[in-house]
Amino acid sequence: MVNIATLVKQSPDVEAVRIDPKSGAPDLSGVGMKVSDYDKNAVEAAVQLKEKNAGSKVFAISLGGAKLEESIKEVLAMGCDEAHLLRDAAFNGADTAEKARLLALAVKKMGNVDLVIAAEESLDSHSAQTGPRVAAELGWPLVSYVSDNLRLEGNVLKAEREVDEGIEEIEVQLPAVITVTEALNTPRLPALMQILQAKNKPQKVLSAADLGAGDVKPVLQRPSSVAPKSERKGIMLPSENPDAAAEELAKVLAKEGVI
Amino acid sequence: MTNVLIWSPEPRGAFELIAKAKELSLTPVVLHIGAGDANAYIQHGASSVLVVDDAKAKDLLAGPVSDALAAAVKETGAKLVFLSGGKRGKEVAPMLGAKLHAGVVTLANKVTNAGGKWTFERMFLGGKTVATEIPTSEVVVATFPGRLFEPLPADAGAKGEVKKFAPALNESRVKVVAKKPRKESGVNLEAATVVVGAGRGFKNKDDLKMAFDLASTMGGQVGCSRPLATDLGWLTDEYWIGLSGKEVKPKVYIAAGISGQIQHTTGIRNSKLIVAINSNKDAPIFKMADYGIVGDLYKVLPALNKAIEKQKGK
Repeated sequence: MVNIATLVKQSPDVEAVRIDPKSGAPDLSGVGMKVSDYDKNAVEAAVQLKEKNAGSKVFAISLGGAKLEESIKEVLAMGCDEAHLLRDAAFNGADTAEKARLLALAVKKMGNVDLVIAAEESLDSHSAQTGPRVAAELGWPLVSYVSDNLRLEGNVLKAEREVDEGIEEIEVQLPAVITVTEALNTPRLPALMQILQAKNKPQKVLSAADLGAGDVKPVLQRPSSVAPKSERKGIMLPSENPDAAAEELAKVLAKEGVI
Repeated sequence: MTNVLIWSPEPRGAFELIAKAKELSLTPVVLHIGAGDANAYIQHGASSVLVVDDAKAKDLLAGPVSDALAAAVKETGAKLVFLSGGKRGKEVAPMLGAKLHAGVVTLANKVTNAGGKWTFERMFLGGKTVATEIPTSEVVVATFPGRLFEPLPADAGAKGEVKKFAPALNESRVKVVAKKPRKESGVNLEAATVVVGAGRGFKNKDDLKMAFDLASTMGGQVGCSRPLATDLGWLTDEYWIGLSGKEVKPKVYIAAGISGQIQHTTGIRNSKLIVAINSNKDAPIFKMADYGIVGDLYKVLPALNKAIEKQKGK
């Protein structure tokens, strides 16, 4: 039996973000919010461990703003038992470092968590910092990039992970923090019944005071985010006739000096 | 001069960061863990090397490595820490950041000192934008992608101090039970100058021959998107391009039957030229392509193979 907390981020649907042609700035108006895709690999991993270890529970912890209750239903439908939502005006200035500190405070406050599972990185910011920072804040061991054979034997977590030199088989006694890669699993698509049941699962909101968070003191500024200047050419070749299109492309590639 | 502390799990990564540090008029101090020739860092431009020879750090786990780096920051008074942005560097950097209360920039593609502030640029929003990031902490930590900077040539006469460094490290509870190499397929996508990427537009495993034929004609390699390597299992992980797979930087990337999900495109965005062939004219891949053909890859790829053979004959 094990209590697992998965860290879930609400992210804009990056595929739908348009770039303002004049300013190069991303236009987020009208872009829907959703659970960061990679977090679903973390949730899937947690739910599979729950299914194989009777009596286990999976919590989803998320820090965010409005409509978080709506996004989080996606992972409740996948099999998380409860959502813990961190929300306070005081969190607005939080950067990656402070968000990780707040998430770690939530794990501590819950008191019964044995294992934290996070994705390697998020869909929108790609910082890849949350899992390792939460581990450091909790003082728990970190196993990043779990890619295969994740399992529990009693209080010991075993898995394979990908590192620069190859594959490592690791073991770690809980509590621990792990991050998972897309290679580990294919996140399930919840059935209609599970989607309906998700509405009745508990969602708790935690404030700065609940967490004993103190002041939020960011250590990183992000003054701008604009489209890179070196745009792709975006030339569509006449495509009615495949042979002619291929001939044209071969000529273009020769002109570009790549063949 | 300001000290910058440098760590990489393999020497080449450190050599690259030393070269960049010197270009920025910083004093490069390398932390070296384990055996190996610490003098090589001096020959490539490091001012000094701290050698940690401690069994607790030998597996390069993030806990002990970040402990050693945090101690080395105190020892040297370094205001910056540059780490190579492989998998190890990317897990060590945030742990170190948490231990030092420092801002961390992940996979910076650019670093400058603007009015006394270390200012970085990095990929954001799935590659749609470039974010500027400025850490405000006393110590600044950043990881950089491999092969972004060119090492300095080795100078056998270079002088510098190599000394032992023995900080108190905590033993990690993580045990490395076994290490094994990735499945070897002889594919080296990272080094390929031409990559033909195959996606869900292929209907059968056997049809991949069209991609292999084209790659062979062009002197390149075949890669693939996630489903072909995982769900379908037509190719091994070695061929997988994308966030959890390889990042390729060829002179030309030809996306055949690949729709262009962000998970895939993060792995190809540094290609010099991107060509997309897809039967769906609305496929997102066309938005990041230099040249696009809307068409059936089953017709276009063999025709392209023929046309390139003809072109090369000229």
